[in-house]
Amino acid sequence: MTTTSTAGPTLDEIAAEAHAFLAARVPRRAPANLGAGPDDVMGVGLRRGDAELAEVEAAQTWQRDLFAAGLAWIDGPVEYGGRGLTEAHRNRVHAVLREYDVPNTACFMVGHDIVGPAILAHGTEEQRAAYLPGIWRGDIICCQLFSEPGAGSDLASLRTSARRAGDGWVVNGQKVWSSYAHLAQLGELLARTGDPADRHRGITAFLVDMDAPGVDVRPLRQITGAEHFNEVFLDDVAVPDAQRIGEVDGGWPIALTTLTSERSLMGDEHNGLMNDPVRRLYALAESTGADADPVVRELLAEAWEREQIVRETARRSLAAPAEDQSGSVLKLMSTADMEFYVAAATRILGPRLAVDHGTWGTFAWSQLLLGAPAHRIAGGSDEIQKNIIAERVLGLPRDPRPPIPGRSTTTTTQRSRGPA
Amino acid sequence: MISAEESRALREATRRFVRASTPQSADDHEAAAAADRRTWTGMARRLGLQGVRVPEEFGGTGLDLEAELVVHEEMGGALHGGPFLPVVGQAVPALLTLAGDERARTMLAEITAGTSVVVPADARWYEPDAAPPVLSDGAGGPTISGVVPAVMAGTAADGWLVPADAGGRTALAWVPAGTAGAATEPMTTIDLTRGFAALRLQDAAAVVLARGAAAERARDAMETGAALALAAECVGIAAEALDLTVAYVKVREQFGQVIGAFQGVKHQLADLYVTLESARSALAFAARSVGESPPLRDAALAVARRRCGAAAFRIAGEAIHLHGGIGFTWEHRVHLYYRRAKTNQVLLDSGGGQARTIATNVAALYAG
Ligand SMILES: Cc1cc2nc3c(=O)[nH]c(=O)nc-3n(C[C@H](O)[C@H](O)[C@H](O)COP(=O)(O)OP(=O)(O)OC[C@H]3O[C@@H](n4cnc5c(N)ncnc54)[C@H](O)[C@@H]3O)c2cc1C
Repeated sequence: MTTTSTAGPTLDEIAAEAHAFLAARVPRRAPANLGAGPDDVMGVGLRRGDAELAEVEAAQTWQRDLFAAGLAWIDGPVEYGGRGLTEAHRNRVHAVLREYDVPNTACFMVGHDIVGPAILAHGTEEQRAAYLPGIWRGDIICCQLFSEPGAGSDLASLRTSARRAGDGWVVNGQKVWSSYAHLAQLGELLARTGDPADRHRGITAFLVDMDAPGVDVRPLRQITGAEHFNEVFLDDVAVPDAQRIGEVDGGWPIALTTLTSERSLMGDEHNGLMNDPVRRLYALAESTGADADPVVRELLAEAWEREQIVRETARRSLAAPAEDQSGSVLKLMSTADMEFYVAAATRILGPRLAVDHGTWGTFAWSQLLLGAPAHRIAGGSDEIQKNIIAERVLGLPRDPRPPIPGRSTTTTTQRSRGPA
Repeated sequence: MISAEESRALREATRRFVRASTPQSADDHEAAAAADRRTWTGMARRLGLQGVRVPEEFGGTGLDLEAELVVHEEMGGALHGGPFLPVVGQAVPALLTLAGDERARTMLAEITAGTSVVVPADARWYEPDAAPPVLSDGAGGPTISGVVPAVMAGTAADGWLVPADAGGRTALAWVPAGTAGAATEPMTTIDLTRGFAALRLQDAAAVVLARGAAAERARDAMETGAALALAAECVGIAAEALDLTVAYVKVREQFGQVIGAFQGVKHQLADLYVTLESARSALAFAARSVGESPPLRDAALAVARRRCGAAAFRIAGEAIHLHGGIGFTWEHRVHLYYRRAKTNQVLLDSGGGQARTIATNVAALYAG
């Protein structure tokens, strides 16, 4: 998907450009400003209701400016609103962005990192032109309508159906855990168009207008107290055939693209899931005096070590073949890292982790503690990633599984969410 | 020692009562945040739980520590949010060391009858280096000033037992709720099932129950009792979170079979069971060692403080994980275990303090 540019700016030039844009608009973030501004460690905001809507509005205004300046989609094709540069350029700009107190743009994560890449890779020319600029300008918020109550890890068992009706399709079923569906205009849907016994072979991908009649979104409250994921009921929803992505019954490879970008996203150092956790840990240890404790110093050392390793792995994965499943490797590293950072913060804060004393930069770790379990579940759980590595990289035999009624083949993780 | 049968009967009676009177969801807990007096008096009248370790001469049932820990375990498993832990686990042992004092005996009798909620407010317990409130002896009687950072069940109390600094000596002061100059302020906490409040004291009139060595003994009893009670709660939390998860993986199907059939899931759960058993052993070891020489007693208690908190947190975290998406919802109660487990864990052991306690005491034992 990357158009390599030969004549474009160097990495230093693009960084300077980003600095100039940002410095004119927003304050620098920690450590220069440690103790001021937002102290969230978790990237996903915790606001609800009107406060969340205000946050989204601010994010959209911000994103429009960024897009206009050519700094939103660094490695995207120029014809769809991208800058046409390399992933290295993108990473460099993201690193600069992290140095400033920019508005929280987590609501665009699904569009930018999950649905957008699927449209770019598998969409028609019309679909790309219709959606990609809007997604990157922040006009279109996206959600991923994959998981169902009965189909989580085993995504290939999904039952939401799309039936042919005239020129289009009629969709019925229920999705669940759909992040940002309550804000989204566009959903990437997986629906069954073939025989359920065909599992992954009978699935088609669609782009669903979330405002269409018959789409009913009901927010679910998460353990953090935020309401980011939703139940989505689809009741006779009409979807034009032009909204289909890829072939009929050919949705599975598209799902895999999506799941792969989702996994890599979670391992991307700039993914916005956490705000500079390691730098903040060091600052926390210093401000509390805990950095004098040799055990804490060892934890701080390991925190930095982990961060470098996940970053280097992300860098190496850019050049690695798909068979390396580096997305799964990255995801497992990053979920373990997050738990490690929480444990290190626990060591430093002690009982202050449990009670909000109002000190800047402390209860933010309690919120990370509450948010962390999500990352081991979402986007294919730890166990599913381990199955992928064990089976697809190491070539170990698949788990024996009971035959699926009506078929003699076994389910493979390749065909599951493999998430599944 | 109570018999295995008595212990089982006590456990079952406690379980039935506490589960029936404890909210199940986060929302219900939030709604029931205020002190639930009916449960408190019912617990005393029907089961005599507050007096589980109070001698019969003061109206209690006079059972042993092991029996008390069974009750705390059940409170943890049910995520009971009332003031039981601070009152029975902390205040009662402290008051028992002062049982020669008429006022202490009256307080014990009232606690046992379920008519009084006596909550300790020890600054040191929540923030090891926090300065204790200061007690001054003025013409109008003793007064106390200072802040106790986070008092468990602080707002539900009829009064607070406050370890204080009286001119360089420790004093144990009693400050009844409603005293002018004493105010609580509820705090935001990660545990949604139990309230914490800051206690602010500004020249509040206080009754001094003990000074000097007697006050220190009472305060030590408070700290030991709290540690054992929290550790026992952790065992209950861990056991319940594991049970909940085992039940779930037996019914949740993916890939055409229950997820509990995957070895990846089975092995994790077996591991968690081993972790739970290690916590049970740590608690039993600490309880059995309370009468031992101080180095052994203190090291054993520190073992329980480290193990039980860590086990509960680990098991509750994996419990969320093995529930998948549903485990990350507010409605599902599994996160309530995770929240309580983490809270108990950081109260039991922070900053590596318990590891240092073990190392110091064991070195003394070996040198011994
Ligand atoms: C915060 C959050 C946001 C999400 N956002 C989205 C979204 O935007 N769109 C979307 O479609 N979905 C989303 N999801 C859903 C997510 O993809 C699923 O929760 C996940 O795939 C697990 O499915 P499940 O919840 O049904 O759990 P299950 O599949 O029921 O898994 C339960 C447990 O069993 C384990 N398990 C399952 N199969 C195996 C096996 N073969 N071997 C060993 N262990 C196994 C799992 O690891 C897990 O621990 C989100 C989830 C979360 C928590």
